[in-house]
Amino acid sequence: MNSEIYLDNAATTKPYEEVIERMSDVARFTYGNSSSTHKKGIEGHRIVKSASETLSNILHCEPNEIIFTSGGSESNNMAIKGIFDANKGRGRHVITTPIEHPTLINTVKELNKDDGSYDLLAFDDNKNLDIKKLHQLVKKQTILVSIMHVNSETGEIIDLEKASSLTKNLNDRTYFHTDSVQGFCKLPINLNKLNNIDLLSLSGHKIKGPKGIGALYIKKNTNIKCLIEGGSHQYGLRAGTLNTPGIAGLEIAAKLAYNKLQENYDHVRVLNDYTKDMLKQYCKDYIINSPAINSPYILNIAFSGIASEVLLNHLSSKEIYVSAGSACSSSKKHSKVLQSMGVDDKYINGAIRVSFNHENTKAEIDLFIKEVNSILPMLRKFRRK
Amino acid sequence: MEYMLLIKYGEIMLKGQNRPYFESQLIRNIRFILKQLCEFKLIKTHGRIFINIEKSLFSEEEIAKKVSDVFGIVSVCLVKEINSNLDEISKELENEAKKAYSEGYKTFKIETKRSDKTFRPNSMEVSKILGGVVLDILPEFSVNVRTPEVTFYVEIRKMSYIYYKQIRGNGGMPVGSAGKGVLLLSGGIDSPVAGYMALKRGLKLEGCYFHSHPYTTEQAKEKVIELAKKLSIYNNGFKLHIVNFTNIQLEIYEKCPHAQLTIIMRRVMMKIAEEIAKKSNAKALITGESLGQVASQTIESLNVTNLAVDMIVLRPLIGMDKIDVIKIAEKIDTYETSILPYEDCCTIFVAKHPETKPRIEKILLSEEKISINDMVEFGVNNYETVVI
Repeated sequence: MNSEIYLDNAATTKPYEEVIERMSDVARFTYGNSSSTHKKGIEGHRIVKSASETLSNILHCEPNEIIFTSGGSESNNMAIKGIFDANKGRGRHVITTPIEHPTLINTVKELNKDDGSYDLLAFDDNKNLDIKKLHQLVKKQTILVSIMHVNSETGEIIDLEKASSLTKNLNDRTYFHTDSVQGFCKLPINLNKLNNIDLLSLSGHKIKGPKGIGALYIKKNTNIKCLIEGGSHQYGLRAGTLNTPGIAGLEIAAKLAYNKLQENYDHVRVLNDYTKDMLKQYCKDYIINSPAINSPYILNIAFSGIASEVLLNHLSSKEIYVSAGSACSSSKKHSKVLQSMGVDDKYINGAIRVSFNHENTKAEIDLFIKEVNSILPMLRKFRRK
Repeated sequence: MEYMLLIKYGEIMLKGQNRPYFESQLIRNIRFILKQLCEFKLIKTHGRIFINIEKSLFSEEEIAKKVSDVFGIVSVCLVKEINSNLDEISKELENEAKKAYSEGYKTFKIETKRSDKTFRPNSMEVSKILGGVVLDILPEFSVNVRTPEVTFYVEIRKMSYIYYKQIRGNGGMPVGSAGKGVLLLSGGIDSPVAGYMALKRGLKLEGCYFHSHPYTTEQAKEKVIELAKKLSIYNNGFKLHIVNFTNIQLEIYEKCPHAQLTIIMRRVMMKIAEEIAKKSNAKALITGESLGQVASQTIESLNVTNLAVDMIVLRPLIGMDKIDVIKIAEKIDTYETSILPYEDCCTIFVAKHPETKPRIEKILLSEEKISINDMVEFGVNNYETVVI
């Protein structure tokens, strides 16, 4: 029996067995280039078409509004750079938030080199993102507002309905993008209803799909430039032979996750609450950084007087895997997200992110809490400089 | 393959009766590297080693470059072997000269040596004749005996050899010829360089790393293993002993004055390393300490650290500036790994104002509060060995 306890599902997930099987089948038998006109190529094309249809059904959009990319990072890059390059004639101003993934916020910052400018939304007193501030920030020159769906460090859920419609009310020519890498197939998204959203990034490996595959939803008639030039693949928006095994794997993962979206959500909500209960019962001197309205998939806990890295090392040696802040930026000393939220210095070094999937169990949480509890006194007694 | 490798070695030649011992160690080390690169025949003649490469995916030049890293070698030459008659030598030299000329050399000279002194004409005359041969086919290629851009060497023995490509070696003595030592490897910039310097003088190394899990990360350990791998190229593999140091460190932290943490910790490390060295039949400890770099490296601190052990402690970097250490680290490709930002056990618990001029009496007094012997025993019984 596998003894590891994987609680780092916001970093990546273990793929469904069905995904692995489907991918190896496609790699082994349906290896044709989806652009080729012969039978093998048409088989490949069918895979892409089917996956586009599945994703469009899940998101409530059209299949030709889906572009497959190498993952969330590329989707975010394409959304920002693509919109900026295609629309900089009428404005060079972009608005985003301080809690975005580095692939997004760093791309926005890079626009400065192209005479672009940007503004960041701030937090309100409840440590929630202050959407109303858009009133002050959206200008005539604002070509894009990008606000993430679910924060990858704290799990905060942004009201996309409110944010996107406010944006359009303030300037109906401003595009609205959301990074939904942590939301896709975990929370319901209906783009038919959320019709003010123009672009949405998603990723395969966060939903027990393959790594190296993701997608960008681009609403019809959006003026966007491609990131990768070359052939005429994907409506000329992304050159490169399509990753059919990845696309097939993504389709299976999305189907499996979407079919049980509510069931999985409920299970994870129970686990999240259970973790908080257990912490309350057994641990001292900690705070929960995740806000009240949050995705149950992510729980950010900060212990006072410890370095999260050391706790992580200990848990890792017991085959319990969590992360410090966000895995993509955990090499940095402090979490930018927690800092911008104004989390107390006493806690900020000791923040860990526990992120669940529907296969986690209460018994696993018990072991996790037990290990944390057993090592905390030592870590607090012997603190690093 | 087109070329053979001719390996020249320096200092070993000066050895008297011990020369065969050094030579055979050198040959063992050369074989170790070559085995990973090609199928070959190694021919040892008087003061020379020839390698006949029979089959390889690498070019002769790539192989020569790797072999030149073996300590004890002065240079590796890419040579053509021919029968010792002037016609054949002339013909082969024509080919080599054309090649050199096409590589952009404009001036040349020819240097002939005969170990077979009965060969006629004599060396000077051979050079002269061959110079004429080159000038006949390449009139633009001019002779310059003082500062030639390229020198064609012709060695006339039982067979004859022509070469102009020489790759400089690292010099030094064959690894293993000076016995064995244990290197205290921390993960920083200095200790791998200290190891390299000790290897250069013929010591075979084993490494000792102190791991303070969970305060130091798995990545920090991986980093040290990576550094050991880089040194293993010169060391014909590498044994790295990873000592579980957490409990020892916590006890020191708990019971000793904080200003003395570093110095006492280093003394315990030295003691454990000494015991491991004895078990491995090693005769020296090697550290990356220099003088005056940081608080633990004042002459007083080094003295107190040194008093912890009986075994000789070599500090090859003692007289070096940091910038020179970095240069070597870059050359041996350890620098990029060393600067990865994972903390090692030396940096996790550091006093705000560490003692810079410790006195042995005071340190011994503090050490009475901890059970040093138990610590050393614990260390010696709690290490894993990674064999690279």
